[in-house]
Amino acid sequence: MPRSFQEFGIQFIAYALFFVVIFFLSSAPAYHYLKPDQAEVKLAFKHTSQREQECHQRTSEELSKLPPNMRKPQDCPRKRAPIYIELLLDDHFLATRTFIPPGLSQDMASHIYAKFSLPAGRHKLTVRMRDRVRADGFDYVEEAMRDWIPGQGIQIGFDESKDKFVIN
Amino acid sequence: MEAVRRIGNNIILSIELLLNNGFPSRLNPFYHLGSLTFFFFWIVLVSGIYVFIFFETSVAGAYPSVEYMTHDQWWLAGIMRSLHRYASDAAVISIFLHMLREFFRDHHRGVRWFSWITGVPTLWLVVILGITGYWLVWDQLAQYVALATAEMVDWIPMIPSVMVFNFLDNQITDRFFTLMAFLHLLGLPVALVFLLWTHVSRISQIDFNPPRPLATGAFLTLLVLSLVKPAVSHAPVQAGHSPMVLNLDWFYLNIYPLVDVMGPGWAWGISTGVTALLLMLPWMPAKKEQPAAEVNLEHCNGCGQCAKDCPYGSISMRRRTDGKKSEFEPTVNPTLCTACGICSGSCVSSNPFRMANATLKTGIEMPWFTVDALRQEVKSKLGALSGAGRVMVFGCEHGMDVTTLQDPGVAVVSLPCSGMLPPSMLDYVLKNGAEGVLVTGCRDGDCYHRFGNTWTEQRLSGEREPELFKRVDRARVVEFRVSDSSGERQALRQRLEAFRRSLSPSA
Repeated sequence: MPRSFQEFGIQFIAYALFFVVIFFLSSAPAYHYLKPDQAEVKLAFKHTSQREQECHQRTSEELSKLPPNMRKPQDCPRKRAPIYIELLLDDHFLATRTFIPPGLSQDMASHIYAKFSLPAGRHKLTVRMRDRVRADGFDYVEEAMRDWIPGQGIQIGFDESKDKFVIN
Repeated sequence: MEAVRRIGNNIILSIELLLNNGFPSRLNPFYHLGSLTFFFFWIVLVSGIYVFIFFETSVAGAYPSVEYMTHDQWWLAGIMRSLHRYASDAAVISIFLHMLREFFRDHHRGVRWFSWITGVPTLWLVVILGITGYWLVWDQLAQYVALATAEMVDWIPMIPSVMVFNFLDNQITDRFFTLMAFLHLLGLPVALVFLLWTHVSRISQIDFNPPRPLATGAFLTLLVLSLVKPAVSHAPVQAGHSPMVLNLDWFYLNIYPLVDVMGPGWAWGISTGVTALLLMLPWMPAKKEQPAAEVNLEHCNGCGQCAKDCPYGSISMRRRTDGKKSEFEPTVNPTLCTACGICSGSCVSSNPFRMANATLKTGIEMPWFTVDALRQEVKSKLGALSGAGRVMVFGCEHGMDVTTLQDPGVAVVSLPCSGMLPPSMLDYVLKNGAEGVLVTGCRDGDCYHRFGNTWTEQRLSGEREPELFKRVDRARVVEFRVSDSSGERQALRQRLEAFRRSLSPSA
């Protein structure tokens, strides 16, 4: 127990400081993940891009040079093309991302994941993807004109069965 | 690095001096940061067990069960939840201060590197434990934390980037809660206990509990905080919505805004960079240790007091190897010895009245600063004393620099630790020209070598072997312990002057 007013005062201040530091830092300052007029769009899907090089039909001469157990009629280089994605808001660039296929030979399916904030309100959201080796043009394009509300989590997926983007 | 350490040391000493004006020295919270952390873990454990009774480990049940505790059974489960959270936060504060203090006070280098290094992964474990706790609530904060954590894990090269997909579109299953409950309730706590055991394994006589008044004060503060500001959840997870404002617990979740702003790569880079720096600190620069203590068996009676007094457990007793009467003999593990000299002070044969006309040999001593060398230094300085109120001051290298006190009537001897001082040396000093002896060194509860000041105090008061001879006039012996802060230098000087005047009014 404190023996004097000074001791009491210092102990009180020490415990009060301990109290105040936990009081505030346990929940403040508030972190504004999104601004009040923002929504968030998440690109999240799995996709296998096209091979960088087309399969090559082996000639009989080429086949004969291979060991018998490796004589496959086609030679298919494993490496796949990078996936290039553009996101546009009202036809203006919002973001672009390139995803290199994983794996030692870069031949596996890419797990696409990226997130961006965008202003809430009525906007046209366009997503387009190129998944083969070429300089321009896109293999998949999807648009959605909607009222995006603040805090909305817009998820862009890819339906492999229909071969098209899905904007939810 | 040394300059940073010196500046930090002065800041720490100033804070401690301030606290010493309000708390008795042995209750200074800065002297008990390690044991306070253990105390906070106890609160976390007990409150966590209670909270778990009502917690449902399922996607649908987790949030409502926490809400039930917070609002319906606020009077106990709610308070327990708040205590659980705030004691965890308090543990981060005490760990952070403990780490800073050990670094600034130079407790992290040399032989003591092991405790420092094993403390570093403990930091990671505590933070991960805290983060998994936030996941279990499964509110919007939990969803945010889960997603951001998954983004960090997915960033790691060679790991398939799929973890984040578990947390999108409410794809999460009850199995996730089984996993999280295992991690938070069993896996991580067990690992933490193991790491903490390793952390303290190279020191002896560990006091895991803080002094009761301090523990009571800390607990009451957390209890009041729990009543004033009960811990609450964010809104429940809502499909198709992202969180907008999050009330982060900055003690545990501070990395996540960094992930958002700079990306997971930077977050990993900063975390691993800080960790690597912490791991390297004991060798920036490395500390040059003096040679370890040596045993002189022919002068050892096998009493075992040196083993009892060693603060680092570097001395153990084994069967006698030289055929003498006593059953045991001490053996020193040089990798654990900090060369503090406490064992030398504890040895009954460290008696300066022995072997008066020959080189004094004792049962255990420092090869670089033997008791004989100490006796010679004392003898020569006593010979130079003159005037009234002649006092010999024994100080310690880690307390105040006593050389500034030297004058014709005051002789000073600086020891590696005041615990190296054999009590019989005081008798020797008083019989050979000094009118009084002043022993100073680190403050109570703040000995650089953990117990040097405590053992000395107990030896002088007759509570510990070897005791100060009863024939010594206690009025001629003063213990006055101060820290090496500028604020206390004057206090020591004033105490010395008052002591000299009490011995000889003309001094």
